[in-house]
Order: sequence, then structure tokens, then C-alpha cells
Amino acid sequence: MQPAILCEGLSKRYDSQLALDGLDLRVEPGEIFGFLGPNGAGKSTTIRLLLDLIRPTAGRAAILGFDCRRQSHEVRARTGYLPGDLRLYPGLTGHQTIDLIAGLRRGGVDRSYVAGLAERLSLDLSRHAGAYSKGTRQKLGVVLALLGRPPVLLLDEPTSGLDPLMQHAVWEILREEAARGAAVFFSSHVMSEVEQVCTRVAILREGRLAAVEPVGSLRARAVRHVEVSFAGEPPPAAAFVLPGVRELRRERAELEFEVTGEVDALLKALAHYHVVDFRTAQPTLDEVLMSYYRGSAA
Amino acid sequence: MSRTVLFARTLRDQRVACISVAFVMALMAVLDTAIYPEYRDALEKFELPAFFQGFVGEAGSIASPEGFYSAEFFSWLPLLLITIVIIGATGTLAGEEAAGTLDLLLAQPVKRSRLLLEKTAGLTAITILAAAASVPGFLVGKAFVDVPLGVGRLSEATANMVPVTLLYLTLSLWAAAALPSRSMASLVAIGAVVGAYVLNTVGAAVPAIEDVRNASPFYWADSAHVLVHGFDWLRAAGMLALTGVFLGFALWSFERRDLAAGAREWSLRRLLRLGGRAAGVEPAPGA
Repeated sequence: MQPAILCEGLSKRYDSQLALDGLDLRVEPGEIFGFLGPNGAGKSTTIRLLLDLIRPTAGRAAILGFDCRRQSHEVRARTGYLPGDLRLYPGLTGHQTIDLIAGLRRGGVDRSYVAGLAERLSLDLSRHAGAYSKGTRQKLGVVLALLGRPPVLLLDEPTSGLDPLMQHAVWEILREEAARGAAVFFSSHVMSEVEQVCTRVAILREGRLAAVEPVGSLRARAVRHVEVSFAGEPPPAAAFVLPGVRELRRERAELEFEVTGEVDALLKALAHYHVVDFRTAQPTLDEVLMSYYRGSAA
Repeated sequence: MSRTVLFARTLRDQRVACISVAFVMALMAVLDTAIYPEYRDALEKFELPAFFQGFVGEAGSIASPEGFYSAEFFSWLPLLLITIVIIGATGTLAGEEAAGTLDLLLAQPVKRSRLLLEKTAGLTAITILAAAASVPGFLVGKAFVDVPLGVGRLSEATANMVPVTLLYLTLSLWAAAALPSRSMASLVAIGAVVGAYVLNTVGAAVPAIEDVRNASPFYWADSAHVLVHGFDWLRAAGMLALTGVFLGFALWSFERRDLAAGAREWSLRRLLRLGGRAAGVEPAPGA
């Protein structure tokens, strides 16, 4: 099957600054793909390269088999885009903005679909964009990206500025688009929303790809903290010299460990002693993300 | 997909400027025509200083209708038209890029060349409409006073303002496409206009530089020449050919460079290092 998005060694350099360094990525149709990284990691640069708004220094990218550089017109005809910092014409109403963008797209626009989206997002299209709040601008941006129901959606932090209710509404819309076969490329620096919506996630750090994983396995590889209470004196430290296990704290009848990956080895070692309590918390994906940013899991 | 969305959008964006300039054109045409008989009587024996001879050109005397219209109307109103197109051209490209709205347009299936050409067509239509507003002004004026110069000849001189305005329109578009900020593009375009205008007028008075006057587009757009001899198709064609060259440069510059998400960051040092390469683009915050 033709990948929805394919990047091969995609790089972008601005003078001495390497904004993106040899990105290799493949996103399939029907997938909601999270693209994570802190500000300046290269997320927006990647999306702008895919749309041919900026040109790569090296490598190539394709959307649905169309080269993003040589066939950018075909690419943009099949792509909906929401920029990270959406700017609108302040003198145009929401309706007029939609008419302007619809006039530039092939195949016209399904008015009833647009009206349905506006209703779900509680978006008043009769007001001028200049009077819109950041959240309302973002809602209109989501509607504009979905005009013509393109098979690929490139969304740069789409829920930024939205209240939790509207965030859920947007996630629901994106799930529906993915269910009909659209690929959703979803950039964010908020792990919890990626966790809610995405099937796979790529982590970008300083322009380089740190990891591409299903959301679940990313968490499984995370560092977690384990606290164990014993009936008496805790066992000697030598009992827990195990791969991926590090003793952090030793207090009377308690030990605290940092475990990377599975806890199986630690559990087997503990089985030889009288354990009163065993406490561990599922690591949040933000903790996972932080470990990648620090480079510990790279 | 409508083929004229961006053309219509440009007309809409520039409608206030177009109406304002058209109003000034028509008003000045009425006023200048109305005051001409009194002016002629007062200036008949007046010796025009050599420096101002450039404004009269081939008409010979400022008291003649050709000399009067050339000096009082056609010497400065093209500058108004040119100012409007410089503002429009730099605003529609560099201005929209700095405002971030260019991203919204070019993320759609729109070729950069189409965007530039539709916007150029819109600004060209505005130039023609605003210039043409002077013709009814001449007609109204001539209904009240007798001026021995036909409206046909005045219309030809009006049409003669258009090629030189379009030349500066495409020069501004090129500057806006190639340079890293709207203010810089405006500065270059205005500098080119002022330099050429001064060269033409000073060249008329200073024999030492008279030969280089023909480097100025204003020399070839001389309205007195048209008012005396009629519309000069060859001169207009030359001006339009140069307009085409500048448009080609604008397309080439716009096509090959990165678009900035918002105002482009630049420094003179950086610009000099880049040389002819149209750039100066830094990644947007959060890129």
C-alpha cells in the first residue's frame, strides 16, 4: 500500500542551524500519527517541508506517492493543513474565509459537512475573524483543514488554545477522519493528548528522530519508580544488582528502585523476601517524553 | 476551483486605495481644466526657469494646453499611482507573508506563479481604473471652459501613465519577492522611483547629465511628447517589455525561496552574505 506520508533523509538547514536532520518516517492511511517534540525540535519545519512552503536541504518527502517538491500542487490538493500559529484575514467573516479557501480547492465543498463541523465546535461563522479569540481561530482552522475532506491532514498543535470540551470534540472529529481512511499527522508537545488520540508516535529531539513507537510500547520502555516495604530489615543491596534496576533510597523497612522497562527481574528477586507492600505507578507519557528529551532512552 | 479568487481578493483589498486615487485623479482633472484659461493669460509672457523646463518638455511653453497639462497634471499624478502600486505590491506579497496569511493561501493547491500573476492582474486593473477616472474629469471640466486640446489626446496621455506605473508595480513585486521585509522592498522601490524622477527632471536642466536622462523610465513616459504627438506605441511597448522582465524576475525569486511563517528575520550582514540568493528566512518559533 502507498504510504500516506513518506520522508527519506529529509533535512533542512538554515545557515549554520540544522533544523531537521535526516528524518525517515512512514505514516499509513487511516493512522493518527503523533509527532512530538519540544519547541524548536523541527515539528513545524517538517510540516512546512511536506507542503513545499520551505525547501529541503537534503532528502525527499512524498504524500500518497506524490513528491512534495516536484508535485507539490498535487500534494496540496490532497492535504489539509492547520498551521501552528494560524493567521486569518481580520476583515473576513468565518463564512467568507471558508469561501476564499474553498475557491482555491478542487472539487468544491460540502456545505452541510462544514455546517455540521461548525455546530460541533460551537463556531459562529458570521463573525469577523478579527474578533475571534485564539480558541475560535483554532476552531476555524480545524474546519479549513477539513474542507474537501482531504486524505491527509497535517495539523500543527491543533488543540492549542481550545478548552477541554472542544479538545475532545476535535479528537473525535480526527478519529472519524482516520476511520474513513485519512492519515492524520498530529504535531504536539502535550503527551497526554497524543496518548488520547494517536496510535503511533514519533519523538523529535533537536531536529533528529529519537524514536518511532506505538504509544503503548513507548510507555512500557519507560522508567518507573517502585517502592517496596518489608516485614523487617530490607535485604542487602547486592540482592538487587539486576539489569535495568537501580536502588534509589533505603530507609528502615523500605527500598525505592528506579526500573527501566519490565519489572520482572525485580519481582523475582523480591520473591525471596517477606514483602509487606509493593507500590508502583504507571509512568505518564510526559515522563517517557522527558526521558527521551534528556537522551536517556535514545 | 475558481480561477480568479485571488484576483478578486486583490481588488477587494485595494478598493479603498483605488477609489481614493480615482477620486483625486478626477478632481484634479476637473480643477486643472477649469483654471487653465486664467492660468494661460497669466503665464503667456512668463519665462519658465530652465529647471522647470523638464516638466513642459516638447510642449515648449507652460502657457500652451500641452505644457500646462504636462506640468500641472501629468508631471505628478503618475507618482501618486506609482505610490499606490508600491504599497499594494509590497503589501500583497511581503506584507501577507509577514502577516502569516500567505501560508494559508499557499497551503492550498495554488501554484506560487498563479498567486503572483493573479495579484499582479488585480493591481494592474486597479492602476487602469484609477488612471481612467481622470478622463470623465477632463470631460466635466471642458464642459465649463474652452481648452484647445481634445479629450482624445488627454485620454492618450492618461493611458501613457499606465506602462510606467506597471513597470514600478512589477519592480516592487520583485523587491517584495526577493528581499526579506516589506519595509526593505518599499525602500528599494521608492528609491528607484525617486532616483529616476530626479534624474529625468534634473537632466532636463543640467546639460552635463542630459545624455543619461534616457536611463530614466520617466523620460520615456514623457506626457508632453504624447500630448504633442499622440500616443507613442513604441515607447509604451518598451516600457511594457521591461515590465515583463521585472515580472519574470519576481516569479523566479518567489518560486525558488522559502516562505517564512510570519515576519522574516534578517540582518544586513546576513543579506550581504547571501548575495543574490533571495532568503533571510529563519525557522518560525516553535519550528
